[in-house]
Amino acid sequence: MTKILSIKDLHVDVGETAIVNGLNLEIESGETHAIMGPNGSGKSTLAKTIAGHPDYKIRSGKIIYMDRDLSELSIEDRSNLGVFLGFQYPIEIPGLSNTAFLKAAINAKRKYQGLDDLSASDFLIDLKEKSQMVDIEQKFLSRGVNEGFSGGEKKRNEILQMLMLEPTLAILDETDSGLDIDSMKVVASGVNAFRNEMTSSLIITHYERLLNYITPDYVHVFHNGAIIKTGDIQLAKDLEERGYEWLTNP
Amino acid sequence: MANQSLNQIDHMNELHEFVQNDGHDLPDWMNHKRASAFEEYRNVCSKLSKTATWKNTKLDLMLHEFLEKEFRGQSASLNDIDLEPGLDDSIKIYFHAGMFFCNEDMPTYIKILNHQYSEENRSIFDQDNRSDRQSIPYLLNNIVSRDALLIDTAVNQHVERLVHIIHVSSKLINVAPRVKINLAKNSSIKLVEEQHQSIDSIINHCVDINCSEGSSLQYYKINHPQNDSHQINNLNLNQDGNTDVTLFNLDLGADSASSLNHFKLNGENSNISCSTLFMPSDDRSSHHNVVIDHLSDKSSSSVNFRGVINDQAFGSFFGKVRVAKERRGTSAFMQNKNLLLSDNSKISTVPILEIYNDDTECSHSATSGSLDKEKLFYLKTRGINEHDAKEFLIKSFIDELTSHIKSKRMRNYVNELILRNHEA
Repeated sequence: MTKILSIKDLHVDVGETAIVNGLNLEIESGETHAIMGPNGSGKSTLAKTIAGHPDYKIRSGKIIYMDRDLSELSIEDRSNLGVFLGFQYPIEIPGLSNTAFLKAAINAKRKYQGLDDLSASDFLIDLKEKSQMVDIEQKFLSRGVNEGFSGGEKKRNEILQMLMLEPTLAILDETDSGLDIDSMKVVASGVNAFRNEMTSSLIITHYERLLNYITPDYVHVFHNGAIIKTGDIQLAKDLEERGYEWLTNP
Repeated sequence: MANQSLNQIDHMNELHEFVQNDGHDLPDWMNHKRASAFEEYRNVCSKLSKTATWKNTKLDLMLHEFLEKEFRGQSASLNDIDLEPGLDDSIKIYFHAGMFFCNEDMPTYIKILNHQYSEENRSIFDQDNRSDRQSIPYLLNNIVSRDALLIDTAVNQHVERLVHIIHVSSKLINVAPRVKINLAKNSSIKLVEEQHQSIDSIINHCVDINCSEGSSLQYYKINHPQNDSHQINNLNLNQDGNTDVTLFNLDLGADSASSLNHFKLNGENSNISCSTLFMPSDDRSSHHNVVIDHLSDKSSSSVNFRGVINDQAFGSFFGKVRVAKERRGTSAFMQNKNLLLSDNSKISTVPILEIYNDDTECSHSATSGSLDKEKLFYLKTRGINEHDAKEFLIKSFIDELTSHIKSKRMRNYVNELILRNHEA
């Protein structure tokens, strides 16, 4: 197994407010980790910090991804090296078609890797296959990015982007929020298709229900910007039954 | 010179001298038309040039430029035009050095009126419909224009070929093209006007359009970019009942560009859709003014102006929709969105609705701002670098407007021109 992500004593501020306070986390290749926690515990801050959002400042600590210090890399370089962030609230970009966007993203990664652009036919074959996996109709792909998509369609589109970009580490920020049960199954099957011994996932969620379809290797409970407990899927089930109070305010 | 304010006396004297000396080869009614326009101009110029429409638009500079140049090339001909315009298969009419030319036999619905034309066509210079805002350019146009273009469809005529009017200005020539479009009952036509300016030139362009019952018009206006040039574009439109008009205007930038549009929806079920994309850069300015009068029941209007403003450029939008008290079942939508690409770019936007009854559906909005940081972040998280991400967002902002161009051919042409301009 290879160490994919190593977070050491991470402290993150947004403006003047400290959000992440002394986080430690290790993710190996092939592992799926789930982070659960109440609202405002800092889960999304962690996701955006790993992706490189400029408003999230690392005060101290390190995020090491595949032996590289992520704080030294641009947002796009992080992506091109295999870090993928599935957004809690996917952004709409009317006027830029999903197809053009995906093609640009794939070719940016290939360029970074010193490869030629993907041929149009190979791209379209791959796109057709993967959009079917997440139940996205072809006509949606010619629309603007997430333009007019329902909440579920946006989340499935995030998973489509993940499958197309073939990252090494996928961070999925509340991908299950706003999903009906059918959409959740589609999203989960997309995530499970991505999982293999070379890839890792960090799934951020409020609820245990997504984890009924994606079985994590580890479940971490996040509170006040740090992990306060780690366990397996049973911990998620306990949280579903008892809430967070017994851990956050014992 | 450029920064001096206009010397009213000198410029009036120059114009007066022009009116007295230039028209020796013109029929009497043309000279009377010029003299009367000059008298009115003398009375209103001082007052109107200080109104909001004009005071921020480099009007003084434009008037200086206007008077410093010749109004007509003495020996201009079609052979002087060194241009390869796109849109093959269209009927091409050139306006160069103050004169209209066509390189093929013109169909009967197109008439070029030169200085020999008869008095029966004098209505082309009527100014009955112009608004106060348009007085200055209309009067100046009436003082200097000679040639005019009349497009006059027949009842039930549907013109298949695209009519392509190409304005090619010459250095040190001030041109004042005059175009009138009369669409007869149940007729239709597609027109595109392009302005290719040379350095140090000015175009003061006046177009009057009358759409009779049941007619349909697609009208595209493209202003190509040029340094040290000025453009004033005036458009007056009257629509009878059951008419459909679609206007699209692309302004790629002049030293100063102004468009003044006045649309009157006179008949029931008259519909207009007017879109404009203006893209000033450097220290250019681009000003757009549109007034829509809903004078009939069940009329509808949709106005969508977008600005992409870069460097130290300045843009402005003024839009007003008026719905009279007795008019019912009208709908009006007005939107102005602006993208400011630099810290020094500026925009002024004033959308106004004047609604005097309850039975109408109206909305207006205006937004101005720089590129959305969250959208940039989203694109970058997919591996797209800063430069390309910005380009995508600018393009998406533009495409949202151009994707609604009805004609696929024109949509492709407009997108190609925007791309070419951007790469230049």
